[in-house]
Amino acid sequence: MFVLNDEERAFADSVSRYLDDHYDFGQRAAILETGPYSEEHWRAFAELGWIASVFDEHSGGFGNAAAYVGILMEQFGRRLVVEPLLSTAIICGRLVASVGGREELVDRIIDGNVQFALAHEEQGALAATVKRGNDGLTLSGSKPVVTNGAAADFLLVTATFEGELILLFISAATEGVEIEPLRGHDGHNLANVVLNSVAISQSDVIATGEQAEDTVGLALDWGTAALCVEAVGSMSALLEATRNHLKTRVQYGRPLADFQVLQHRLADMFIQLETARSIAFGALDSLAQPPARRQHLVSAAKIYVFRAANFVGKQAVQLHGGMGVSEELDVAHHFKRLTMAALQLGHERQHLFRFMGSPMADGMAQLRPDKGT
Amino acid sequence: MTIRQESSQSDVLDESPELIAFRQDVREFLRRQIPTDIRERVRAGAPIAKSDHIQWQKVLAKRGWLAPNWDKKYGGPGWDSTRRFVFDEEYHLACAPRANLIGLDLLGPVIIAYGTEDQKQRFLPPILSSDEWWCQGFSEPGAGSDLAALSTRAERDGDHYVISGTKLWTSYAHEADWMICLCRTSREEKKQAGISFILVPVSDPNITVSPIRTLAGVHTVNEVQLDDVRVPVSYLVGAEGQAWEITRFLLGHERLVGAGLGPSAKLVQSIRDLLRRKLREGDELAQDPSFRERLAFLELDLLVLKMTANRVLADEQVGRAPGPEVSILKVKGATLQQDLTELLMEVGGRNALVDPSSAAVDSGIALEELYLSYQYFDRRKVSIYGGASEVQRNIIARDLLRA
Repeated sequence: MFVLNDEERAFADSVSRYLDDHYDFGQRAAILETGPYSEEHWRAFAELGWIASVFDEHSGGFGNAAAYVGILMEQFGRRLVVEPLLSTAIICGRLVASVGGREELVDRIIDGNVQFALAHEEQGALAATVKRGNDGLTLSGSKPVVTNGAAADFLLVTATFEGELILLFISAATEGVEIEPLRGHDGHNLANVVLNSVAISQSDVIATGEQAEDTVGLALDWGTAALCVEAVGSMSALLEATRNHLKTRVQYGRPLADFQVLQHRLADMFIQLETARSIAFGALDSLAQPPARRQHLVSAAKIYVFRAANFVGKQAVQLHGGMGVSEELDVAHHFKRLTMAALQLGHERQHLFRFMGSPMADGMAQLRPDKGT
Repeated sequence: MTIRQESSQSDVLDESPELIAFRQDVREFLRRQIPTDIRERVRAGAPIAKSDHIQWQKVLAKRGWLAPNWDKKYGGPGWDSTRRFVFDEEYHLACAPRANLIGLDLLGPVIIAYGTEDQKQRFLPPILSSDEWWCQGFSEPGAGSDLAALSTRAERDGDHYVISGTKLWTSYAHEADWMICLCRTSREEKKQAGISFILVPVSDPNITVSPIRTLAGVHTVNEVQLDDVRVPVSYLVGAEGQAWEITRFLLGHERLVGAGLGPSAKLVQSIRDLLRRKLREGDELAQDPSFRERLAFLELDLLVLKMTANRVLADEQVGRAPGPEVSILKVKGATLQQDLTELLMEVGGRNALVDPSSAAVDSGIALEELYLSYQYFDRRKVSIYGGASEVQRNIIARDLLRA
């Protein structure tokens, strides 16, 4: 599970080399000056096969997609990459590929020609609705703060239709779709999406009912596991930065690394990072497994990894002192990204309830007195 | 009362059909063979008498499973580390008692790796037959986590060593026949280098074992005084000054031992059982969702620890040297056991107040509720022995800052 084969290792090296050359902290800041992300990098990602790699082999990928997602997202986390691989390819692209029938669109995603966003979460219960009228189906509702919403050419929208979940494929240019661009604290693009009686044709329907739930559930689990791995990459960058700072920063006549209280703090950061890594890659590995186990491990990862990220992020800022709160250092940006990522793809409470309710946790959420004995 | 899922799938290992069959085989054997009274005492976290241990060990030995870490040639089952991992988990979940660890887990592998042929023949069989029990004389009044500061001396006198010094916190010395005694045989070199691994019969008249009662209210540890104890040089294991290397060998051999995965899995099971009982009795506190949330977070910690152990196993299988992950397992594993016993005690309610030694057999307190606080007090030691959690953090930090 944690051992890469030769091909994957070579891929990891090339990802690392590209980002070494093109994605240092200053270069990243320049990208955010002009746009939510760099078109040039996105094209390069396509040419280098990075986008293709997160797909299954029959959709254009190379093999074990989860391994490639792991490689890319860990490196993206280390470098704070803002290009929307997670939304467009890992969540939406894999979703589109999994339902079949849109091979040409999948090829366009892999070629780097289109951007996608999953417009699913709302404040509270799902309120977007599809209604049947005289002129056919219409979609109305609002999807607040959609990740990659400002960049997306296409949206995958969830709504209720006659009491069931429906999953729709909508072009952002469709009449009735309003997109208000926003930017997150982490520099990632977001948008408020409002849907005003958007006309829906049968070909826009990706799935309904149980199939829609399973499809969205699987896509969210892929996204969540990938986000956890990104967080692990980000935390390792913070650990490294903090270690280097402790070794070089001199106060009271000696390096900070000489103080045992700081050594132990660093050790605690490492413990959190490495245990988070175990469960994040465990979640990634579970994506190919039966739903019960997959959901159990993905929710476990989301809870644990972002608790660890909270600790590591705060400690990295604290141990960097004044420099930790400056925007000039990547430490603050990692801290912000980790904090924002924690709020996405399911809040801790949601994942906790799923974790507790899963059969693998012995249904602790529904714990009832024993009848027998 | 068992509430385990019937599924024999592990939540962390990708188990082959052979491994699943192995797990079922182990589970079935343990379910049938552990004597009920012993199982119930282990389930309750109560102390187990040496005679009970011996009775059970003989059953295990007959099946060939008493010494999971030993090579097949010497009476071990010949399992790889994955099978040992599965066995350990099932063993604890089945509430089987584990004793004579020093003989089985520590001395056995050391003798097999470093012992002479005579030592193998002399010392290994009585461990397997449960005829000889071992204790470990490592710590001293001036040498706890800083083990290399130990000062017990072994002076060479012809064909003998003459040993003098004091060992402290020696578990079960009062029930042991033999002690592994770490002794200083040289003072010239760096302090780790002058330490030797010598075997000493506890029955020697020049040895005095004095009990120390711990905060759990029981006598398990001792002070062991050695006054000119003479042992033949053939009781030296390895070469003179090799003890430090031997302990490092053990660390690499048993990377998961500090994680306490089995004991923690069993504690989770105990909390679930107790919560269910309390719910049945209409206990209001047990209905509080926050209890279940606390348990969920500890179960999450256990899952993460198992995942980490799984990574460590994978590293071991590709021949990677042990690194700071062994310290991670120790720190997290110790904290988890302590947190679990704390929750167990709290779920127990007022019965947790009672010192078990004050309760008559018919006191009305069920066995499974008599040792809740006892376990809590007893587990304070796990973050202290085997390298205190602070020392583990030193080790991790040293490794990080060296690079």
